[in-house]
Amino acid sequence: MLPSSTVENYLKKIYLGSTGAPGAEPRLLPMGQLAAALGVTPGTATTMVKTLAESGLVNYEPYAGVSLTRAGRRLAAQVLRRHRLVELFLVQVMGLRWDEVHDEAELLEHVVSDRLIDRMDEMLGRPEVDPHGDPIPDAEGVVKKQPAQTLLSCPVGTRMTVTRIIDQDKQFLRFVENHNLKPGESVEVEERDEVSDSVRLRGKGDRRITIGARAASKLLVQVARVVLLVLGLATAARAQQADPEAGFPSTGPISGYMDFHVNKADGEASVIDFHRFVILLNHSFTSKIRFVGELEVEHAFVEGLEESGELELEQAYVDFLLSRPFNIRAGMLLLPMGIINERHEPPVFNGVERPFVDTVIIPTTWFDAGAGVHGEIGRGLRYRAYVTAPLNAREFSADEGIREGRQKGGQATAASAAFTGRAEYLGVRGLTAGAALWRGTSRVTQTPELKSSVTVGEADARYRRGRLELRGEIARVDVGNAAAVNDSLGRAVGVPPNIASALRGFYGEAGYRVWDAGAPRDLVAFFRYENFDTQFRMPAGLLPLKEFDRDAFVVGTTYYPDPDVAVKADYIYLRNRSGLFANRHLLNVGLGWWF
Amino acid sequence: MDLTIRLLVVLPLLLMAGEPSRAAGAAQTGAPRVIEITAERFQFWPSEVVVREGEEVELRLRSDDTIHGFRIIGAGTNLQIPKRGHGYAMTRFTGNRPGRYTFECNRLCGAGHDFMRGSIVVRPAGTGEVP
Repeated sequence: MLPSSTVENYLKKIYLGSTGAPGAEPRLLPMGQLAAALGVTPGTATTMVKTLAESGLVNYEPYAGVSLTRAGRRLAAQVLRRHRLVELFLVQVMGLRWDEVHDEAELLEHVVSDRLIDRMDEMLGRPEVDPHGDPIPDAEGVVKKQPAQTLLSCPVGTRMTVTRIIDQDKQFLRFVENHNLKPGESVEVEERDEVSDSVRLRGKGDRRITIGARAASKLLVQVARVVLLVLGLATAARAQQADPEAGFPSTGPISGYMDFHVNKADGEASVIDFHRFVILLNHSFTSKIRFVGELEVEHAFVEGLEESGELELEQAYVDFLLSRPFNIRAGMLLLPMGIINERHEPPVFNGVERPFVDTVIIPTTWFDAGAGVHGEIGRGLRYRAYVTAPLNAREFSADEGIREGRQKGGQATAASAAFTGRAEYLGVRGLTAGAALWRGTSRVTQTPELKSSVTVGEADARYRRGRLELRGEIARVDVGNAAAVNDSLGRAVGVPPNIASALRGFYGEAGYRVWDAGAPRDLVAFFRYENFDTQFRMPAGLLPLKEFDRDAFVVGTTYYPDPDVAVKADYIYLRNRSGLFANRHLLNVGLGWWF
Repeated sequence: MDLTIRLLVVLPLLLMAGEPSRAAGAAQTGAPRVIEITAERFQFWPSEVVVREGEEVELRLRSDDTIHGFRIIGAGTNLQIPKRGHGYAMTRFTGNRPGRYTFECNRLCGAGHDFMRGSIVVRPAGTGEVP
C-alpha cells in the first residue's frame, strides 16, 4: 500500500530532525520537537509514531524520541528527492522564484509519480542539489555528503563558496538573495565579533556586509576553487542511462564580440574606429543538428552605397554531428587557414590589429559559402575539409594581394570549386599545430577564356606553457597565370595591376604573462616580428615593387580585467625595403570583449 | 628547395615530435586517478582520455579563457567549467562498459564551439596499460 501524505510528512520531518547538522550523526528526535515541526499536539504525534513503529518504519523509544528504520529512511529520502527535484524544476524550467517554490513542492511531493520525477531528473541533467543547495537523494535514496562548515566555523580570510542555505523561510531567502549570498556566490569572512555576535563578510564586488551569527550559521560554505559546481554530477551507475537528447531543441544564449580601436600613425591624425560589432546566434535542433550564425557590422555605419562600413554574414552554417571522425557542415563557412581566421576575436590574440600576415597574405576574415566535413581521428589529430566558391582574380591587387578577391558568398562566381583542407595536432598539452592548403581556380575572362589557379599554403603553431605563449606562422600564395592576368586586366584599365605570382609572409611572437593570477591581475606583454611581401615573386616582364616587401616589429601589452575582456596597447615599427617610401611608426589602443 | 616550402614541411613535423598527451595520474593509493583537462576555445587538452574498464577517475576541468560547458554524451554529466582564474569544476567518471564516450562543450563559446569535443576511451579489463 502506498503511504499517505501524512505518513510521508512524518517520515520527512523525522528524517530532517534526526539528521541534525550536515555531517553530524543521526540522533533520536524528541517527540516534542517532532510535534512542533508538524504543528500538531504531542499526543497526536505519539499516536502516529506508534502506528509507524508497528509498520516497521520508525524506532520509538518512550521518553527518549524517535528515529527511522532503514525502510523508513528510504521512504523519507524518496519524499525529499521528489520535493527537491520539483523545487529545482520549478525554478530552472518554469521560472519561479527560489523563495516561492517550497510551498508548491510541499504539495507536489506527495502526488508526482516516479516516472515523472525520473524525467525531471533527466531534463535537469541529474542535479545533485536543489536551488537552495540542499542535496537531492538519488533514485536509491542515497544522499551525497556535504561540507559541514558554516560562515560561523569556516576559516577567516579565505575565499569560500556558498553551497547551501539551511533556512528556507521566504524572508530569509530574500535577505540572502539581496546580499548576493545564494549558493555559488563567493564570500570571505573578514572578521567575527563575539561581543556583538556578528560576522563581517566581503562579498561580490568586494562589498562589505555584516550579518548576525544566527544568519551566518544558516549558510553552508566550502573553500572556493576546489569544487565550484556540483550541479549535474552523475554517478556511474546511472551514467549509462542518460538521454542524450535531454535539453534539445535549444536556442541561445546570444553571444558576440566587439573590437574598438584608436590608431595613430606618425604624421597623421588619430583615427577612432568602432571596428567590429558581432552578434552570434545559435540553435540546436537536436543534439546532432546545430546552427550557428555570425552577423557583423564593421566600422559601425552602413548606409546605401557609401563605403563607411560593412554588414557581413561571416558565418551561418548547419553542423550535422554524425560521429567523432566524420561530421558535415554546410552554409557560410570560415576557412580554416592560419591562427587567426577561425579565432579572430580580440581576447585571443595580442595586438590591437590582427597580424599583417593574417590580413595581407591570408585574407582574414576569409569566409565563403560551401560545404565540407570535419572530425577528430584520435591521438589529438583533427581535420576540416571544405568545398567553397573560389576567389575572384579580377580583384587581386599589388598591395593587398588576394584580399579583395574574396567573394564572401554573395552570388559568387563559381566556374569551379575551391578546396580547403586543414590538419591539426593537439596531442601535447598547450600545443595547437596545424597546416592548411587552399586551392581554387577562378575565371578572369570568358572570351578568350583565361583562368588563374590560386594556391594558398600555410603552417602555424601556438604553444602555451606556464606564463609563456609562443606563436608562429608562415603562409604563401601562388597565383597561376599571373602574367596573363596582369596583361588582361592591364588592357581593361590601361595599367597592369602588378599582381605577383607569389606572396609570402611569416611571423613569430612571444607573449609572457607578467602576472599569472587570473583576472583582474592578468597582463600579457608581447613582441612580434613579421615579414610579409605581396610581391615575393613576379611574373616575367614585371619587376617587384620593394615597398611591398615589409617588416613589422610589434611590441605591446594586453590587460585582462576579465578573461573575456581585453584592453590592448601596442607600438608598431613598419619598415619597407624600397628606400623611397618612409617607414612608419604606429601607436594603437584597443578594447575588445567576447562572450 | 625554396625556403618557404622547406619551412612549410619542417615546421609541423618539428612541432609534432613532442611527447604524446598524458593525463596526470594518481599513484595506486585507492583514490581515483586524477585527470586534469584544460578547456580553451575551441579545444580540450587532452582531447582523448583512456581509462580501464571499471576504473573510477576524477576529472578536474579548468578553463584557460571563458566559461565552458562539459557534457559526457550519454553519461548524464553536465557541468560548467568556470572562467580562467576562477577555480575548476570536478566530476567523476566510471568506465562501466568498454567503448568510446564523447565529451563536448555544451555552452556556446564562439563560432567554433562545435569543434570542441573529445572522448573518453574505456578499455576492456586486461588489455594492457593505460596512460
